[in-house]
Formats: sequence, C-alpha cells, structure tokens
Amino acid sequence: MSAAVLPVIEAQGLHVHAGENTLLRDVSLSIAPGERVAIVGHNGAGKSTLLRTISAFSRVHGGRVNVLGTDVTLLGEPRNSQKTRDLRQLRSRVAQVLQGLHLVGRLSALDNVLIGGAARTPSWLTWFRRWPAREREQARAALMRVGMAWAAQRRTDSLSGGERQKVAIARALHQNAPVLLADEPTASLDAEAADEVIALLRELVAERKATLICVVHDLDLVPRLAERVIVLRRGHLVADVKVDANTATELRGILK
Amino acid sequence: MLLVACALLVLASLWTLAAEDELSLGRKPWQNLKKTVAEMSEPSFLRVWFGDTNSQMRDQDGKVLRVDDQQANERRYLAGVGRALWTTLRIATLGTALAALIALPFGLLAARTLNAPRPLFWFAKGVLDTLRSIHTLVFGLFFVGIVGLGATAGILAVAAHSAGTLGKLLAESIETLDTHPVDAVRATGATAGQVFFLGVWPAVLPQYVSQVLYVWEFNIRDSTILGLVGAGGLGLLLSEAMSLFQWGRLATLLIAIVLMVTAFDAVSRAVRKRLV
Repeated sequence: MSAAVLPVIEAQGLHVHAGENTLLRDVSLSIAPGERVAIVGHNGAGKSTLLRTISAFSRVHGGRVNVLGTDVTLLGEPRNSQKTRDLRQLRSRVAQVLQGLHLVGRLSALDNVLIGGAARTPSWLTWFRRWPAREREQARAALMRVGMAWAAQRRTDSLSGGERQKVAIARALHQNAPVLLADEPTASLDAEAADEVIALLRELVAERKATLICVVHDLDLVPRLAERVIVLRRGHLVADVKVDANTATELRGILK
Repeated sequence: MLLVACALLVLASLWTLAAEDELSLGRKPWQNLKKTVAEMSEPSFLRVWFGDTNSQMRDQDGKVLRVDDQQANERRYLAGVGRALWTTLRIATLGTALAALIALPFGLLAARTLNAPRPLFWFAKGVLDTLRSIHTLVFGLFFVGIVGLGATAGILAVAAHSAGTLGKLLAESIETLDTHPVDAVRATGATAGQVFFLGVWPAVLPQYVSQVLYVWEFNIRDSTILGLVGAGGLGLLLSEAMSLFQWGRLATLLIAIVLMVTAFDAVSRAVRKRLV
C-alpha cells in the first residue's frame, strides 16, 4: 500500500449513540482500496452500527467519517436537495449484502437485481419496473454470474435462504460499487450455502477490485473472507490486526 | 386496574340509565315479542307458492271491495327486492372503489415512516380521523341534502366514511412494514420515488387490496340501511316494511340481506386468502 493511495474509508474519533446507549466510542480506522476487512465482536458491540454509519444510515454524534472522499457526517440529516443527491450518489457507490430477509419478497429475482441499478437510472419509468434494455441485460448477466439465472422470474419469497443471498449478491454485482458492505452474509445458511456465498463474495471483490467490509459472527470464516480484522467491544475498537493462520484462535482469546 | 375501571364504567352506565328511567322494556315486552316473532316467522316470500290467488277484501256487509292475486303481488315485490339488492350492491361497490382511490394519497401522507412534511402529515391524519369518526348513515343524510335522494348520495356516503377507514389501514400497514427490504432499496442510492414504488408498494399492495375487499364486505352490510335516509337501495324497502308493520315482508328482506352478505363474505374471504 503506497501512501499516495487515498483511503476508501477513514474514521476519526467516531461517536454514535442511540438514546442512553453509546453504540460506538472514539472509533478511528482507515481502510485502503481493495482491502478485505472483517469486523468481529459480541452482539451489541457496534458492528452493524459501524456499517450503518459507513452507508450513512446512522447519525454520527461525534468525530468524522469519510467514505470515498465524501464526508458522511455532513450528510447525516439530509435537508436540502443537494445533500439528498450527494447521499444517493454515495450510497450508489457502497453496495450492501445484509443478513437474511432484505430482498423485496413479492418481486421477482430479476426485479430485485435491477434495483441495484436504481441510482444510474432515476427515471420514473423504473417506478413501474420498466428498465432500459441495457440494465436488463446486465442484471441477467449478474444473475447468471451467481448461478441464479433459472430463478429470474421467480418471486424471491419462494427462494431458499441461500438462493436469496445469491440474488442479493447479484444485486450488489449489478450495482457495481467500489465498496461492498456485508453484514453476516452467511447467517442462517447451512454450511454448503455459506461456502457458496463466501466464494461468490470473494470472486466479486477480486474481479472488481472492490473493498470488502464484512461483519462476521463465525470466527472460523474470518480467514476465508478477510485479510485484516477489526475487533469491537462495547463500541470500542480493541484490536485491528492482519489475518494469519492463528487469527481465529487469537480472536477467541480476545473475545473470550 | 383496567378491569376495575371497565367494571366501574359498566356499573355507572347501568345506574345512571336506571335512575333516568331509561331501562324500561315497555309495557308488554313478552306479548310484543311473541306477536312479532309469530308474524316474522311467516316470511312474505312464501306467498309466491302458497299465496291465495283469489284473495278477496270485503267490507262489513260482505261486499267484495278488491280481489288480489297474492302470488303475483309477491312476485312483483320480490322483483323489487332483487332490484334493491342490486342497487345496494352497486352502491357498496362504487363507494368502496371511490374510497380506495381517495384513501391512497391520504394514507400515504399519514404513514409516519414515509416522512411526509409535518403540515401535510397532520392534515392527512386530521382528514382521515374526521372521515372515520362520522358514520356512513350521517354522511348519507348529509349527501342526500346535497345531491338529492338516490344512489349517488349513498355512493358518496359510503366512499366518505370508508376512505377514512382505508386510509388509516393503509397508513398502518405501511408503518408496520418490514423496514429491511425498504432500507436495502434505499441503500442502492435509489430516489424517493424508486424506494416507494420498488420497496414499499409491492409489499403493501396485497395488504391494501385485501383491506379494500374487507371494507367492501363491510359496506355491503352498511349500505342495506342507507335507504333509511333516502340514499337508495334496500333500506327504503326496510323502512317501508317497518312503518307499515308488514313483519312478513321485513322477514323476507332480512333473509335476503343475510343471504347476500353471507355470499359476498365468502367470495371476499376466498379472494383475500389467495392474496396474502
């Protein structure tokens, strides 16, 4: 990593709280383009909050976060159209694969993938699911890429957990963003489906030279997904280390 | 605690009404009940088959004043009932359809989670609450005064009250929607319109259609009495039968209502089951 490369994400003294609860305290980190970072920690340690902050879904109460050169802190409460536009622009460049049920159940897999291209095609025609032919082609290709082309016209609520997660990855693929956030992408999947999802995520990130930031629950998955791991405990960043063969064991020690 | 409060309210109601002497059952409740039941147990439609085809009305001297064919009379009456049922059904249907359209914008504005501008939110909420708190029958009186007697007044009355109900239901189903898929759509950088039409609307639509059907079912029941205030349909015949003390005809009407309502309940329930 040369010093000339600007970090994709840079946080300094980040504070986030919800009511009485402090979710993140004084978190500082810097992530370079193309890095694969895992975030681990107990429930309520602030892992998901950190992701939500990066995608500008969480209000920031102190410190700064810069994502792809945009100061997210300033977008916290979009009140004018310029800010709204900046916010959408930023979000379109940060794709997300979340845990479980976050596809629109009553829409087909293809329609769900097409949503990934929403920011590129803001026309009102898309409200009625009329997308440009190029977008359709690209979305089909994305479905094909994750091996779900057969399900293009299937409603996503008729698909299994693993199949849905693959459709979600196809959406991220279609969104074509330089940053990919994943929040326990393998939660509630069986081993085989989890393996597939992990393999796809890794391929996607490698192909697009994207940055991956992934919340991981199962510590054994850390070495397979990431080259760097960040440990959160009660909102504090307690460790930020490179991943090697012993990492899973070490993490167990840190997290007890 | 709550239970005690409820019990107190019941007791207070009972005691005050008794004190105002409003709880009397009339002078001869049993005789009246027996008489009414006896007359109603012979619904008038039976006369289509068993009626006297040569029913003679005589004066005191035995002179024949009038000869009636009861079977033909009753057939005519039943045809009238059929027409009134059809009118009632049309009032309920058009009223509900109109309500479904009116409720859409207000329901959307009144859904907290869609973050409409504050003044618009309160305005929509106010309109919906007002519409909902006024009974269809009261709207019926109101619209009869404006557009005159007939089905139009009925349709408007049904639409006005149901729009309040449907708007509230729509707002609530949007508010209770699973937010994850919607946030996921928002996370792609979609515009507000895209978030609504691609994330919210597909999830809410089946619920809304099911609610509209439910309210339609309800309105078919409600419209049967709209005629009481002159807003068209079956209610007119009801009020006629009651004011002429024709209990047999009243029985016929009630049976017709029960049959219609049951039939449409079943239809609407079957459709709703498929939707969800």
